[in-house]
Amino acid sequence: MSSHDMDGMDQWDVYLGRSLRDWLAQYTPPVDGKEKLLQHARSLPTQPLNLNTFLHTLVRNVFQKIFSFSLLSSNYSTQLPTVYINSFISQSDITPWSTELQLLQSLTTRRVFLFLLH
Amino acid sequence: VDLASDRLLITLLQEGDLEALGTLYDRHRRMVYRTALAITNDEEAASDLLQDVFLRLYRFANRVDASRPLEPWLYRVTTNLAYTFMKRRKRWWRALKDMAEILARETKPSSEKLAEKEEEIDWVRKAIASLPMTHRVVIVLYYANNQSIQEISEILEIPVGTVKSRLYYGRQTLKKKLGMEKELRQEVTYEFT
Repeated sequence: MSSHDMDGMDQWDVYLGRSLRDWLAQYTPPVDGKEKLLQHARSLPTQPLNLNTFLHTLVRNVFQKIFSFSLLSSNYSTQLPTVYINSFISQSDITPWSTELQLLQSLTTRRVFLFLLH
Repeated sequence: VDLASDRLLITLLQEGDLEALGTLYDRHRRMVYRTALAITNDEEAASDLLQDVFLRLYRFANRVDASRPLEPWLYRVTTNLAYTFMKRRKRWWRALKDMAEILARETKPSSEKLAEKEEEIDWVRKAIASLPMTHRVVIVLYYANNQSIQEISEILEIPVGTVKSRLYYGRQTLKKKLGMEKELRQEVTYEFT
């Protein structure tokens, strides 16, 4: 534990620190937290998810769907990224807060297609 | 905190050992939860942030340097996530929750001494919550978690001078609020005596 090192430490600081710690000491984390954490951790992919892994999963799962939709739709260039990527996300176990998802959602249609053609 | 065994647990976690994650959770959960609570002033958010912090530890275990203490890493992730949470939270929701809390508290009976203590704690809770986020985080790490200015600088990745300045202004604001609170209390006492 570190010692306080601010100039002018006085009784008031001691009072503030004590009151703050007294307040926080009244609270303890939920009892089922560990169980929930481990359950969630088990459901995550064993390897950290990166953009490439995510895009490959996307291609494997929805390429046919995207392709047929793009052929049928007259305005696929604007609809494709949001409609199908969001639909894929909602059906998968990928957590909505992942950085990879945010990156993917920001990709333009052109970049998605360039990737698919790669 | 046993740093040596934290290191071992991180190494095990990097190999995907979930038991190691559970042990690290047991060891640091109070610190993470209370830090998140002090910043957000929201129990539910603190519980969610606690889960998020340890899930990140699991997902990004390979990015954690096992040779360094784990606590600063946990503080950094906790404060960053709490900061993001606060930015996203809508103001009306906060106001509504505060109102609900006040109503709930008013129905609780308590002895005089307990009430005084509760009042004191309530003052700190409200005063901390009223600080700007940048000042609040520094105040919480310094006073509740007993981190030094140097340590806070490393955790938040900001210069020592910035930590000192935020601490100074945060402290001044709190002191001013305490003074006003004391005056108010005295006025109330005069009215009833």
